[in-house]
Parts: sequence; C-alpha cells; structure tokens
Amino acid sequence: MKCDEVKSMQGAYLDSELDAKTSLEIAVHLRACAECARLFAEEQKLQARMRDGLSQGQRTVALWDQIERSVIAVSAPAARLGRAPAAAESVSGRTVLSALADKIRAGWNRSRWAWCALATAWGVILVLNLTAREAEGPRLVEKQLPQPSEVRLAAKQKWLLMADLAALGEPAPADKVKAARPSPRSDRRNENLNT
Amino acid sequence: MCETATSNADRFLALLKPIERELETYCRRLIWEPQEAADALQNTVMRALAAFDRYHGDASFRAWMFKILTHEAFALNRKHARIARHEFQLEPEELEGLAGTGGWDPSNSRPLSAGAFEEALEPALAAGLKTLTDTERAVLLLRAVGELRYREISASLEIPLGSVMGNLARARHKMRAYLARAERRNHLLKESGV
Repeated sequence: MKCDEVKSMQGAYLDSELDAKTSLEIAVHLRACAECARLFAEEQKLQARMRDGLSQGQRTVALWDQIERSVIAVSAPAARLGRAPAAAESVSGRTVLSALADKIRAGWNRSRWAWCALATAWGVILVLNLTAREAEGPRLVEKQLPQPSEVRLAAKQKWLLMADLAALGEPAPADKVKAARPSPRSDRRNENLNT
Repeated sequence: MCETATSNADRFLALLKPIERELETYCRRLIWEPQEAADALQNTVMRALAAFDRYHGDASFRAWMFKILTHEAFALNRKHARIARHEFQLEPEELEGLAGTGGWDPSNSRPLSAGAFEEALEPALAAGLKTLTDTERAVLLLRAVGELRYREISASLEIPLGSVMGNLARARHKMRAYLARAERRNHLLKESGV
C-alpha cells in the first residue's frame, strides 16, 4: 500500500471503521513508513483531544428529573383510562383489531347505562316513525295518482282533438310564398342602370 | 393494559437513563441558542416516547435518540438561521472571544437549566465548532460525543455513508486548522508577554 492511499484512509482507520484486511495492510505500512506513522500519531492525538474536550459535560439533574416526570405523567393517564399509549400496544405485539376491540370493551364498561339509554331512545323514535307512516301513507297515494280509467279517458280525448285539428287543417305557413317588397335602394339602383 | 402502559414507560426510561449525559452534551454543542437546549431535550424525549412503537429492539436506541435530537436541534437552528449567519461572518478571533463570554451562563439561563450543566469545553474548541456547517458539526459530534459508528451516523442524519466520511474529514480538517491557528496566537501572546 502506498502513502497516499494510506493517508486517504486515515480517519476511517483511526475510527476502526475499516475491514480487518485493510487495517492490517495499513498497520504494516505504518511500521515501515516513519513519515506516515508520525502523521497518524499526530492525528490520533488531535482526535483524542477533540473527543475528550467535546464529550465533557455534566448531566443536569433538575432538567432530567423534570423530563422523566413528564414521561411518567404522559404514560399514567393512559394507564388509568385503561388504554396504553400506541407504543405499548405495538411492543406487546397486539394487532390493530385486538387493540380496537379492547378500546370498545373499555368504552362499554365505562358507560354501559348511557349506551342502554341511547339504544332505547332510538328504538322509541323508530317505532313512532313507523306508525306515523302507516296512518298517512294510503291517503297520499289516493290523492296524487290518477285511476287507470281516468288515464284512458284523457288519452282518448286527446286523440279526438288531434283528429279534429287534422280535418280542419289549413296549409302550413311555410307553403305560402310571399313576394318580397322591393326596397327603395334597389329601385334607385335600377334607375341608375337604365340611364 | 395498565401494566403494559406503565412497563412501556419504565422500559423507555431504562433505555434513556444511561445516555442522558451524552444526549445533553451533544445537544448543547449542536444547538445555536444555549437557552433552548432544555426545550430541545424535552421535545426530543416526548417525541421519542410517542414514537416508541416504531423503535425496534434490534436497532440501537442510542442512535435512534440521537437522530430525533438532531432533527429537533436542526429545526431550532433553522429558526435562528439569521444569528447563525451572523456568527459565520465573524473573524476567528471574535469567535473565540464569543466562545469565552457567550457560552452557557447559569445566571442568564432559566431556572431549570441553571443547575448542573457546566460549560467545560475549552474556548478554542467551542470557537472552532462555530466555523463548521450544521452537518459537519453534527457528524463530528455524533462521532466524538455519541460514539456512533459511520453507518449509525448515516442513518441518523439520513445521508449516504460517503457523505458521512466527507463531512467528518472536512470537519476535522477545519478544527485542526483552527486549533493550530489558536495555538500559534497563544504562543505569540506568551512570547510578547501579554
């Protein structure tokens, strides 16, 4: 391996990101090349300084206590209501359908009497609606639809009327040819032509 | 069901506790506005808890949390983009001055973050960080503070592996150059007896 090639892989080598074979080749080169070994040693020292400097810092106890309290507070209401956050459901391997069934069951358990009252109210409304329709329905039908005999009579009258009109019939206006009245301008033009 | 919700939160906290220090350090280094670090961390943890069902046990929780935190910090940095641009325009000497005086100051901060976090970063490193772009800085910090592998950094920042290596190399080059300049200046100042 040549110096340029080794230098191009300096960062990855020092971060232990290369495969074993390449790392070994670089290590062999560094043993043989003093200049590359010096550069690598300097770079390693610099990286250690940066790593140590940048990773210094303390954990703020008050901040993390508050964050952890928030996590517990967010999770607790879900647990009290009998429903876990979405995260818990997935992690425990529940399917969406079983989660939905759980939610419906929990809702039923919470307000069983309210659901019963609602169902009864709907039932009463439905019965009242049906009985009202039975009382008014036939009358409406009688009023709006004509009897078949009436329909036949009306058709007959219409046919007779059409026959009378055909017997009296005058020629259509389109058959009459109306002579066009000459306009004053065309008269003047004719006069000019004659002269 | 109740037990599931509680055990889920417990499991989340058990995974979170060992990396709290690293998350906080990373956040304070990455974010432009030190006062917003507490909000960024709080939002990150809440987002992570809400999306905990999408976290697979086989993936690295550390990398997953750093990813969410990076998005949160970038969003806040974009909000303060004008301030960031202003800082980029400053000279290195001014940047170093800023790093010395403008770091996290407990007396200026809100009571929550005023407690324990200690700005231990040496001024030259802090100023050098300000010369990096957001991505370069995130890559460098994810490697140095988060100790993530290249592949994990690639997944966290949603950039190709080659870009991770490129950004890391550029970030280190800029930091190296800046630290060398700072050391030369300090050496000159010592020689002149200032």
